[in-house]
Amino acid sequence: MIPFEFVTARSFEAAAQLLAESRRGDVLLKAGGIDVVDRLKEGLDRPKVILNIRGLRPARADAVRKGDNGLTIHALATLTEINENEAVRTDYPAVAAGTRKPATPQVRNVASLAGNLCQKPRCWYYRSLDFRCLKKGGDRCYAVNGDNRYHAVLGAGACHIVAPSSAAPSLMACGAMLRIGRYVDGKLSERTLPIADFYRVPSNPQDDEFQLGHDELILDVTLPQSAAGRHSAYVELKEKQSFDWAMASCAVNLNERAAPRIVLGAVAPIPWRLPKVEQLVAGQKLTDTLIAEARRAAIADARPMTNNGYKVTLAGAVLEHALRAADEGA
Amino acid sequence: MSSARPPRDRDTACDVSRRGFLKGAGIAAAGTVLAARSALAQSDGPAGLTRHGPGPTPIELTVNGASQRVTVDPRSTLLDVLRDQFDLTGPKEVCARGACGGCNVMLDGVVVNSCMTLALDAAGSKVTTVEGLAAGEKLDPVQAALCRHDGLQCGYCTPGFVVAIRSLLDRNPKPTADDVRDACSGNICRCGTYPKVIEAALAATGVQIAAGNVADNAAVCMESEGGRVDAPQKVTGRARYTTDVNLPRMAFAQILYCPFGRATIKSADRDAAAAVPGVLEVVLNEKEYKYCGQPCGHIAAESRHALDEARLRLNVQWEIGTPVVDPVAEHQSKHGPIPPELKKSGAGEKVTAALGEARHVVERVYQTQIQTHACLEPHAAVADHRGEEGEMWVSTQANIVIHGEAANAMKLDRSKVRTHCEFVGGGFGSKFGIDAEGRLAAELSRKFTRPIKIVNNRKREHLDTGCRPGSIQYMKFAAGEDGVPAAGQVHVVGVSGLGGGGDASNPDHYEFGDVARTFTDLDLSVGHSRPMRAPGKPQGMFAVDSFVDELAETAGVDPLVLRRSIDPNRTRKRMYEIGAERIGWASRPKPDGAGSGRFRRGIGVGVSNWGNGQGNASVGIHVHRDGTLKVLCGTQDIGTGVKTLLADVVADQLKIDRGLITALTGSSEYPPGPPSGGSVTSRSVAPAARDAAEKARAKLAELSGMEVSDRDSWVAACRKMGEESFSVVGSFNKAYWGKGGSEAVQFAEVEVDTHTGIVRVTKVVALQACGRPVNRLTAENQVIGGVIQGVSYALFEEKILDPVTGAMLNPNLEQYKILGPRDCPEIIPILWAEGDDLGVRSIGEPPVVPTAGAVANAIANAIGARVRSLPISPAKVLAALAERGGVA
Repeated sequence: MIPFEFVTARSFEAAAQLLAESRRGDVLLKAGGIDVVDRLKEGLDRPKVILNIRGLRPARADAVRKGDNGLTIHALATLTEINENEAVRTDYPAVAAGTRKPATPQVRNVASLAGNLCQKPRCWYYRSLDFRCLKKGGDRCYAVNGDNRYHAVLGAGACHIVAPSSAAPSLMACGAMLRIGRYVDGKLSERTLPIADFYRVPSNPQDDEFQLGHDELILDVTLPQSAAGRHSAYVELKEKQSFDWAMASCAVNLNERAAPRIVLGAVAPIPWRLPKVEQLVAGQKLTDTLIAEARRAAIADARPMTNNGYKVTLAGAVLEHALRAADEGA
Repeated sequence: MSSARPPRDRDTACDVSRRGFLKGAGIAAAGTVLAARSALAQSDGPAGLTRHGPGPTPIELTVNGASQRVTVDPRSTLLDVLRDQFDLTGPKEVCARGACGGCNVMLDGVVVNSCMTLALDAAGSKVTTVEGLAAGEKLDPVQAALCRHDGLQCGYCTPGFVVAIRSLLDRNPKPTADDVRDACSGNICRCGTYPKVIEAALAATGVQIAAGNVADNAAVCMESEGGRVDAPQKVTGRARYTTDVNLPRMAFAQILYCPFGRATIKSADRDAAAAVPGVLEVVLNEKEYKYCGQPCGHIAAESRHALDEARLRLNVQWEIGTPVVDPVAEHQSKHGPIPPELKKSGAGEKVTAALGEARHVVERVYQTQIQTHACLEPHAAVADHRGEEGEMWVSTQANIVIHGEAANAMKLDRSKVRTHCEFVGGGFGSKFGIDAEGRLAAELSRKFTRPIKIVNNRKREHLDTGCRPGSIQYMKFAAGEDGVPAAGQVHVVGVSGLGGGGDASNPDHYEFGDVARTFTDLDLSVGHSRPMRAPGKPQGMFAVDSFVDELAETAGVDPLVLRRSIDPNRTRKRMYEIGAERIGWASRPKPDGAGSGRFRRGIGVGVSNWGNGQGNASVGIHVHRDGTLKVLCGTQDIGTGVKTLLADVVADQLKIDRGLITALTGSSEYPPGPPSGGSVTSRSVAPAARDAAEKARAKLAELSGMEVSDRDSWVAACRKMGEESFSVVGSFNKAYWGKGGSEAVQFAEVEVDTHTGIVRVTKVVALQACGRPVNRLTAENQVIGGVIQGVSYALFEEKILDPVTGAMLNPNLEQYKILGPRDCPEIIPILWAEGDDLGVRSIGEPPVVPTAGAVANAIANAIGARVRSLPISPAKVLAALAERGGVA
């Protein structure tokens, strides 16, 4: 690592103020640190300042709070705290699974929800200092002519990364709202944003896949009461069952039968909502025929690369498994 | 640098006490450098901010109940600080990226990766390492159970497992086996001890659970209950590996390498790298580099932070050439098509004739991947050249080799050089010399007249410390009505780095009739191959056992029936009977793929054998007046348990209990023992140990005038002898040598998800001939570990090369996938002992050989489609199913 100053914020407001007063790129925000330390070790990021908000983690009892609008998860709640929370398990089984399946117990004990949502992609070209790829300001996506077995089959632009977060698809399926803070006029001001609008495939691959200004930070995530119920599910398919990244994943929420939400993970640069499939299954009984139709619709726009055609099959399979699991209910 | 320790006096450098080792003066040096760069900068900002660094900053850490003020750099991980400033060796750096659990500690009671935790983040929390779990000499129940159940081999991953399991039991005192697998799913064990670890974790909760396979193996083993003698050191983190050696004034170095398959250096910022405070030298050589991982220079520095910063600031830019990465294209351009034409004479002529008139002709091509050793302890060396004499610590599986190499590298007489390796965190064939790491450490230590430590990072470890070569294996045979092959052609293509070594054992073990065999070694732009656990065999037998099943399928006969016809080995023929019954062979789908539903079950079989040549060793015994013995051998323990074997064999020979015996290994100062290669260690050391024991008995009888026949007479005679102690040395003695084979047959059961192609190996019955098993638990562990590495090879592992640049794309433990606890099948090791032979036969390598073939055959049996390429990924299973036209 290149030397940096380590600044610990004692409040969101203090952190936001420092961000507001800093130039883009100088300050790297760190929560649990799982992704940040990885990037520092590789040398991908060389900030002047690490702004540490890990210490803002709430007490375990406050990690998830029940309110009038639903369940609010603190940005710094760990994945373990979320998936062990009784209300999350009961009312948002997809979110419980989406925060229990990824990584390892050690990582989940440290990784924060906000950090998980804002982690950088795991593309092996992007993650290696040896490749100056599009996402690092270079002139090509090495995956195109390279080994792209784990790359995108849907929605890719010039850059073929896949969204790494396991939590994001299930939060999106459950209609989560993000509360985002920023320091303006001497105080912390807030905006809220549906998580579905948070993720965008950037036109410039160097930009993030999420809509967060360099001076902004996520404060908490609310799961609306309307999405609660036992009929949500998250399924992921991995080559190895002990710590592996998903080849394909899918979150489904059927609690609002007329307005289901279905999101694929690990197949596109962002969590990939399937509006056509949602329309197909809305209000319908899930028959084998309908599921087969849903599978076809899900992958109709797939554009596999040279080595990842199997992910198209898996996207269909994982959709089916998640649909059936959500239908059956937790 | 308030708390950094002052440099210790040079005279203490060779002090091998724990204290002398662990109080790292390297850190003191680092502290000096950092202090020079920036003043301490800890202050409260106006806006609720606390600032640390850049540069050294004091913090208070509470570790294992004691608070201590230390000076850290903001870049320091908690792992660095625990190891360098708290004298702790339990947490290990293995993958350095949170993928393996080797560095596990508890932070406020919760298990975390200390390699991914900045030390500053741990300030104010309670840190508990494995060292904090035992109460004095009293082990934590988890540690005690791991010792009893032999839930460890090399021991490098063990502290991480102990912490993960302790943390689980603190939250859930009555976990199920699945809970344990989940809790350990972030831990990797390269030796493959998961089943025994899980068993031990359950035993630690008070569940009555047998240690290993008592029913099948207890009766035939010399020692059935006693675990390994050095387990307590390993479960407490006290076992000291080369990476744990810290000496006063020690500096650090790192080998630089070309990351692409073919490249030249375009530019590099040498000045910026050299200007990093604490850097001793930066060497970068300009030339054309021909493989990914090829060394191109090195950096030496007083601290690891300086080393790392200099590496980044050096910023080497490469002109990338065209690498050789496609074996098929390379073979085509250099050697023509696969297969080559059969010769018109000799075997070729016979084969051509047989193919012309055969009832069946079966022609197949199999491919295997490049596998890396991925030892959890990377290649590491510490050299201390002290002018007139020198000392080296090397992570090695050949103490006898490194001593001479160390003397050469230090330019000293051998009598002036001592070398050590008491514990080694895995070798698997990749650690037979001091290697580039040791040579550079020796050279730099001589040059800078201070100790130098080199520990490979995980990437270099994957790139250039050896591999099991990949292969392409072409087979075409003429077979009769019953599937029995009459004659055929085999062409093996070895896929490895410069220098070759890629031959595969094909054909092997079965009778194939006349074979026209050719072999071509290709030099790809990848790191050199090195022997890897049964070199050439797993890849060969994957193809051979797959092909035998394909012959059987073509002829419409049961694969086991065909094997009985073409396998000349009498032991294996009996193993087929027993194993088939234990796995439930009769219940396998007939024909292949005959099951129904999404999940399909299948059963397959694979075989191996191992030659048992005579091996030499010397074993010394010091006998003391109080009746205790020291048994000394210069060989090393790579996880097989050679100290345990020495103690058990000597105890058996003298009919005394092993509590009287202390076994010592891993030093150039002991009588020379064999390198651990070719599975020779146990079978070489055991006869020499018996010989030494007999010499000790004779000498004691002479000195005491007493007959020595059991423990009581032994102790009485020792007390009576006139001397304080005496020593004898034993060597090879034919009377104690067993020269049979190490046959193996494995049956694997799998479950294939036909929707996704995901394969789960559910059960493996592993029959393993091994002469007279000495220690049941360690012998079972070898077999289980072989199976686990075999399954990992069959399903997951692969060195993935970028087709354009030749770079290895997965040089980590995250995408270089090693089987973990949740992927581990139930394994039933059956030790096959015959007669009352005292001979010890090889079991280190043979159990890794049959697994991939057995798994591949089980998959084909389950789905009626065959994957002929390793690893058998979901993508390949789906492709095979699609080719067959989907599942019924």
